[in-house]
Amino acid sequence: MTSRLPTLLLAALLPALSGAAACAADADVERIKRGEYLTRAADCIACHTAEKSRPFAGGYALQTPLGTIYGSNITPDQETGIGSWSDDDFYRALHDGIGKDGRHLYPAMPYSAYTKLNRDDVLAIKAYLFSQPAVRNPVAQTGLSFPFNQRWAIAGWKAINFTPGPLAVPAGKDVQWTRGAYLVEALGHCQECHTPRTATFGLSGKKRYAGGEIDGWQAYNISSDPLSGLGSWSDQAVLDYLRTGNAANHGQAAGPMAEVVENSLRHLEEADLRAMLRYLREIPPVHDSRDSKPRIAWGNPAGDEARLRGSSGISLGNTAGSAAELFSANCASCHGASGQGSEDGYYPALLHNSTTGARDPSNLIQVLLHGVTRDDGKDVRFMPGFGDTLDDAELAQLTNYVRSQFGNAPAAVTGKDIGQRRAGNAGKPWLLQAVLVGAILLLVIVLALLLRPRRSKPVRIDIDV
Amino acid sequence: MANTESADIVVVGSGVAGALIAHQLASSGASVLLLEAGPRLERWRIVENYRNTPFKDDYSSPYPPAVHAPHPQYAPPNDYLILKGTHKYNSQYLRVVGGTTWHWAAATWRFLPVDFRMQSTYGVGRDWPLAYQDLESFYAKAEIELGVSGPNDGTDLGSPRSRPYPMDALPLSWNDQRFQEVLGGNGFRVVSEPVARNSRPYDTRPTCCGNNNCMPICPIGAMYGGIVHVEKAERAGARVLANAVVYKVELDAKDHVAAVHYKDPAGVSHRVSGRQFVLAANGIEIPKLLLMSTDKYSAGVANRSDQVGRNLMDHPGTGVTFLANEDLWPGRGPMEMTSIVNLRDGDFRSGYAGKKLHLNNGARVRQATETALGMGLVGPALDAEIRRRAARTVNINSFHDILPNPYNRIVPSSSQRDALGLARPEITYSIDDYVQKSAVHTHEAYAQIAQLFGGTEIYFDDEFAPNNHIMGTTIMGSDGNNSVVNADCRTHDHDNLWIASGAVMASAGTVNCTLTIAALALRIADALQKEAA
Repeated sequence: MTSRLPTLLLAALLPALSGAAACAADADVERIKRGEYLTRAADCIACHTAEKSRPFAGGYALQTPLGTIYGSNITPDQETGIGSWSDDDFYRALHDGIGKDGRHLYPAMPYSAYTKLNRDDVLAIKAYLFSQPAVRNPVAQTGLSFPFNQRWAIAGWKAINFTPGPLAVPAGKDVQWTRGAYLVEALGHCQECHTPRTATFGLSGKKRYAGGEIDGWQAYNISSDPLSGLGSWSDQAVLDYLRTGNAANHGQAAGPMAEVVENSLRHLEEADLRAMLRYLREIPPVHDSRDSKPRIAWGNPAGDEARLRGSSGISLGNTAGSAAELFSANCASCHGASGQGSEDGYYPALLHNSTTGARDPSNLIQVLLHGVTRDDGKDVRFMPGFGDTLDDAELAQLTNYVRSQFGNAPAAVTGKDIGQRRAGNAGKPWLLQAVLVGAILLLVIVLALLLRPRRSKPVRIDIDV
Repeated sequence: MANTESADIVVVGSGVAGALIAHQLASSGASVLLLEAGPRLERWRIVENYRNTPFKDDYSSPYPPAVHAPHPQYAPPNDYLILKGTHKYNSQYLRVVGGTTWHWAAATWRFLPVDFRMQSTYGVGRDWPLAYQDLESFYAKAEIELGVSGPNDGTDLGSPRSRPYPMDALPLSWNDQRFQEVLGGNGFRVVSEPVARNSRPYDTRPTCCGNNNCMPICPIGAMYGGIVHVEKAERAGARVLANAVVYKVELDAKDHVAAVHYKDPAGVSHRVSGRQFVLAANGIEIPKLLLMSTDKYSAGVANRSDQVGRNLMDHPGTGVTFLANEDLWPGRGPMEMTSIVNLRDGDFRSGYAGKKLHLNNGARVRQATETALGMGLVGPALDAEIRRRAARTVNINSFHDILPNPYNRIVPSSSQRDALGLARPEITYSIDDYVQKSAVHTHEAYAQIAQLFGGTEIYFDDEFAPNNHIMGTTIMGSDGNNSVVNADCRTHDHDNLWIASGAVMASAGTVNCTLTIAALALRIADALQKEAA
């Protein structure tokens, strides 16, 4: 009995099997089920699925500062998927970041986190993936420009930024903490977005969970710092957020985090969510001196509506007399004229809201441009984007109004800022690119020198099977 | 005159019909130009206009008529339409990019199969040259395009379906629930109305959150409007030209349409040539345009039958308002959710009109306040009276099926001009016994309903009101001698001239006409694609 058969077929065949085989099959079914849970906790689907109708068939384009990287096909298709991969091949990919062909995987694959997974869990994930339909789908080759297309140079990146090995559990930590650490550090790979990157694009060891950037969105500081991180959040708020992406008067998940809730977190068991909470609570605080109040502590209800009426008229010109009018016209019909949201919480309050209270306007601008879609399993939370109906200057006006009234506005945004976000190049200034390119080139040279005696051998780790 | 523009497909009018065609054809790779007489307005600007207007009852008020492309406005009146005859055809429509579905109740009913065969079934009116079954797949497609939510619980609305509604119906308001309960056991069949309104996120538009001002503007875009497909058409490559007032259709020597001519707001004329031309304005502006195009034929374009501008129809409506003996709180959810459908059809239709009755779920706070203030109340007594009236006022309206009558007609005025010097529409209209007789029966039904609710202060509004469903004026038929377009909505007289509009409808039926217009438009789009292939 191979583990490649779909679960249903396995179940159908069960009665026909003799005792010992049936036990083995039971174990397989159990392992596939566990694998499904782990696959969700590891959110593999996020980067390995381009079309919802073909899960795990790859093709998802991940925008990174180095260029576009395409998620591979991890269905059991023999040619275009991972159907020919052995257990060791699969384990090596997750544990060492090396593909079946012996080439280094781009660290967009979060093997810095997955390396901490138990082999048993890794193989359960494989069993689950192999129980899914094989989809023939040749995925576009990732085509980064030089020097980022030099796969062997990833060895240099790894030498500095990657330590293979299991999760380190300090003495005295109990089962719940350890489980939480495993979920947050290994499966959930939360650091990948929530920890800032170093100049060589590795995870900062000093600023763990101090916040990072993904696809133009901010992944906020989720360390236990009371002002900069989650220290001020109630347990209930953290659990609500993890379970549904919606924590009333705290924050709502949008963009990539909404996908994490949808694909991963909402499927987790209560005990696991509580373990994550426990672990998050004990992440050392990383404070940013610019934060004087928690993100959720900003804002006041708006009171402009009555003043607007009678002062602005009827017009055929698509212009607004004030930012308050833009807010009333575009936002108030759902979020309320005061910005306090709806009683049932479907439309969140804009004050006491992590997105408006953040120092960085990125997420608010992203939400205004692209809207929100988040399926929490019970309801689809949806907000339309306004990128098509409001121009850059209007969006800037609206952003500044919302931040000043309901959140934190250390500096005003301009129409030009909005234009850059539209083009998708905010947060990736040329300077940073250049520094990165320089750093990597330097690494390449150093490594070439170091590896000189063995340079005729390809970088490859062979594991006997 | 030199060409200003040219395209494979030239569509005149950017409402739901024109936008659907422009979108499908542009998506298939054709070059498409969409001409719109009126200006372009953003939803948010309309929302603010509505909040700022003192004329909340006039749904046109947030859409001030452009000087160069006026449309009817009644508060204050702009007298754009010249109204003659025993009954005033004081209809509303908008000339803006996206058309009149900016403000509608979003009711998306299908016709009954028998509505297409009124003459052969009941010996009145006209038969369509196509049957319900010819249109069914296009109804289904239109429901997907517009995003229709409807009773997927097996409720039979008399129009056979090949597939479920794209979305389930929204839960009924308390007002509508009680209406259904109280009337249900008493000879009335009350159903959830199919509507182009989101009951879940659909097509990048949000779920209805019950702002309760579908008319004059859905502030969040949960309700479908033609602007949705205007924007989709643009994304597919169509060009949209606002403020282009088409005033003439030009024929060539072979009686093909060679071009249309439009005036810009400064009054300068432009010529637009093309291969296929689709007139997708409403049933007043289309016949006006055809009848004004007299360069070749004094009777106008597409008018060999002398039927252009005739057979003008609407759904004449009567209403009733009363205070119920219980709190119903209209105003939660959309403005209209349920209809009484058991009077839509029956043998009686050989003698008088079928009809649909519908409950108004619009908030009554403003009217309640006016009345309570008029009673001279102040302080807590005023508050209490406003609450009582807002909670208990029931308002029901109706659509009566009027028959096509060639004497009900619209012509370009011979003397009255608009700002660009173009003729204003002159309408002669009478409501005949077929409807009047039915309205007497409707009045009795209203009285019965009021009684079921223990109604007091019953006010019957028996004067026919317009419902802005402009139909019949380029009527469809198989015979080019007594109709303007054929079953494909192609004009009998001109091979490359098509009409996508309520103007082609050969019967009015008892329900809102937009879904039928949309289905016919999608059928035209398929035909145009075949022509191009």
